[in-house]
Amino acid sequence: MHKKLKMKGLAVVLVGGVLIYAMPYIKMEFAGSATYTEQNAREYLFYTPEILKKMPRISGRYEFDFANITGPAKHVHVVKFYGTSDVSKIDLYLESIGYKKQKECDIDASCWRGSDPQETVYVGMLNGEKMVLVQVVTDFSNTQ
Amino acid sequence: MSKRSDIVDRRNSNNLKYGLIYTEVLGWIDLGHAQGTDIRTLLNKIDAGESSGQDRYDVTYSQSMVDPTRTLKMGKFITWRIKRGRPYHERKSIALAIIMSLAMKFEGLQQAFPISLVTDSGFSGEDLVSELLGFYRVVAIQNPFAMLRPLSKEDALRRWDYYGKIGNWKNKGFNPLLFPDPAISPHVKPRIGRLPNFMQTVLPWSDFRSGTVDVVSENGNYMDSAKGGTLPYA
Repeated sequence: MHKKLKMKGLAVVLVGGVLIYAMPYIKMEFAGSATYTEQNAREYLFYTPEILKKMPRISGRYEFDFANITGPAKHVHVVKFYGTSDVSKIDLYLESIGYKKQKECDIDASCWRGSDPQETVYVGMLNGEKMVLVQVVTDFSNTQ
Repeated sequence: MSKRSDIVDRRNSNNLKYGLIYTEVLGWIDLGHAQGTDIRTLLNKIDAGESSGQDRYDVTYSQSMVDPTRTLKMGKFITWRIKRGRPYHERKSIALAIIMSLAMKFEGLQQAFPISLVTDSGFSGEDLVSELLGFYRVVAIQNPFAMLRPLSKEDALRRWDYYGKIGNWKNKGFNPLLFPDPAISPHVKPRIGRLPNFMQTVLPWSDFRSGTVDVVSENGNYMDSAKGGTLPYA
């Protein structure tokens, strides 16, 4: 009897431990949106695409957003650089990895495209704040 | 699933691909839903069918959700068979009906168990009207925001704080769900508003008897890989 109780206790602790470990990942998996910095290591590694990890840090103060848009399914990954309006280093980086600036853009920003037909990178500013915004949009509805 | 922290300022309506704004004309608008890129794709498919030379052509439209790790894509699709020879205004009308029909089904999927456990997004007040706005951004006015009377971020936050999160307010139609300013009249409640004129110029196709448009798949479900999936309609 005593042994059985011990086993049960151990099972509860184990399952609880796994749940405690997994819970942040489950939450991140189902989140509709998130805001985080590079110091939030778990979020940074989970959400951030390579292109934003390697984006030149043009300001010391920056932050990331992720938005999961359902329906017309899209993922939007964003880095926001505060206190700057100089995009030249970002343009150079995008050119260096083979992205081309598009002649037209559907919003007030510059549109860039690389080899992935589902992906568009938008480089722009935010009105009312001194900030550069890089939005990486992956459009899953655009497969055909 | 919209959160308070998604709210952005009206001045950035046309330079963001995500975020939430409040407009006096359409209520909450999810900028991510209101882009219309999928609508442009759908219209292109109809155009391609018209120039295909076939007497009738099939058009499939789907909506889905993809998890952040891009493992799984899950959604709904419908396929309609269209008789060739549709003038431009009829193509828009058919496209609008396809989108409205599927959007209702997709929101229903999100509201169903077990997805309802993890999101309050099914029929969330802003979803359908945002998609309708996306349609008109493609067929009519690319930057309509000045006409919609959007609020500053501070004012939008005040509306959110007064009424609570938008996911709690359901809207099963395409008319706007408005949240009147509590500072103007106390004891106000959300109410259904009327679409602005420019969003009433296309009537959704409703003639399924003449044989011009037939429904091939009325309510399809699918699950596929998010990247490099193999299903043709996904």
